[in-house]
Amino acid sequence: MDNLVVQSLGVLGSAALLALITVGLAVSFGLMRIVNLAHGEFIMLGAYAAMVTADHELPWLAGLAAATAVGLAVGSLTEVALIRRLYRSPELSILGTFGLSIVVRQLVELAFGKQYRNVANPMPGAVELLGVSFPAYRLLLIAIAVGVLALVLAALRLTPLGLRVRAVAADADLAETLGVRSQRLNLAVFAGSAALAGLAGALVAPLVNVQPDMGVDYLFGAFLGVIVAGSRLGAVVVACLAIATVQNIMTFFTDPMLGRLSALALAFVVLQARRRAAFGEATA
Amino acid sequence: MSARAAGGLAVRGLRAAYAQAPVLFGVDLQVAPSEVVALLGRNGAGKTTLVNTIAGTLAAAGGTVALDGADVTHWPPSRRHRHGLRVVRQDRPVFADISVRDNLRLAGAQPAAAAALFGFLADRGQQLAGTLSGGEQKMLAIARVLMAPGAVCLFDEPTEGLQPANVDRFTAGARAAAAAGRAVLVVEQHLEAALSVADRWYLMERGEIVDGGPVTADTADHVADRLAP
Repeated sequence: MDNLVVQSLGVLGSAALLALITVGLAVSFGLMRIVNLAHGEFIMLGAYAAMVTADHELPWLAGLAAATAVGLAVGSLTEVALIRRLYRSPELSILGTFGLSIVVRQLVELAFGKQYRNVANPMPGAVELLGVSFPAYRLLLIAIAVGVLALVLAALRLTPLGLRVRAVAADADLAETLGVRSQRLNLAVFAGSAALAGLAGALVAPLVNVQPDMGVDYLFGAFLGVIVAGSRLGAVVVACLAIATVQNIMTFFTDPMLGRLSALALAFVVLQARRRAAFGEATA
Repeated sequence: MSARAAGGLAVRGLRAAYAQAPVLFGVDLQVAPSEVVALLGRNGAGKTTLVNTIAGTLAAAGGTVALDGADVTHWPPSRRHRHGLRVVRQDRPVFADISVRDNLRLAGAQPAAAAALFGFLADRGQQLAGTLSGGEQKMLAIARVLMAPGAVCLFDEPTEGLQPANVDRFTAGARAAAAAGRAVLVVEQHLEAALSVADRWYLMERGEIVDGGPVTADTADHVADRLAP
């Protein structure tokens, strides 16, 4: 029973963090058809921002704010300098953002070196929950990730800006003829997506080794999340929960490699089922 | 006459192409404020291409488009919208995965006003637009244009799939828009509906305007003869 509670909290933590990383990626893909292979580097930059603020003995919350701001700034710059030249071309966006990811990693290596660094845990210790002891910082991470995710999804569902995002994602030409400035919206969404990735990087920084290639680890799960969720934003949370559940359980009972392969198999099964459903609809 | 001089919609020598294939060959067309103009022609004459080029979703290869005196030829569609252009497209006129109410909100149209034009919209606000029938989707798109402010209205095949009573509601709405000073262009294959609402007409063939004039008692027969195989 204790193991079940610990595992469930672990799954919840992984899923919340994954969803935070994936939701921005999913919105940019739905809006611009951009396959952003540099998304992991935005996470890494957020972790380094948290590390630098911690090195300067600034409060932990300042690290979160700095990471979000760095993500926002780098995302804006990337959209203006690169992404808007690659709209609606997944092939070009793969090449362009892959190149960008290499450049960003090299720049960080030049600035901070290759070796890994650690960020102090801002909330060490454990708390008792449902009769088991669970790391306090992981609970805080879950609360922040779930809160931010709820805000993002609510903004997309309930605000005029969210309505415009959904309209451009559905039909950019029609949205434009209704006065929606899609290019400006694309900039806001891409920068927001990078800001969320930066925030996620700062949140995981106290739990992992901060190093230039750390973002790659998160890209795998995030892309599986986008693939499983498709263009439905609400499905991102469900997809991330399913992926985290499968991956964590398999990792617990076997090893991390089989955990990843299981998540990949889940994505494959969902895609096949979706194809069958679409084919069935088309021929019905 | 310069395109800049005219109010409403003024199209001069407009050319457009899909890939390298030319579709419009120097179209001249004008719709003055308070006027309803019908654009007629067979399938494939280039009517929808003309609408898309005026809307800005297809780039012009030459010529000019002016809205209320401003040359908008190289403006993006969103800027044309802010300058008063309202469009109902023939294909995919609404956002299927967005509710009826939000489809109206996006265009700045009041749901209550839209429901006054087409009553079924009153109690379908929460429904996804994609679950409406084809005719209902067209009515939603028409209401979105007629019930929001804007100097120039373009309707591409607005009566396609509509019941006769709803065709009458559309024509009454289009006439009311013209009476309020708006310029209205109705692209139609359905001769009777188009000529019942229009003050003037143009006939398009193979990407060019080949005929036109004021609507008179003889117009329907004249155009039908031109359209006969």
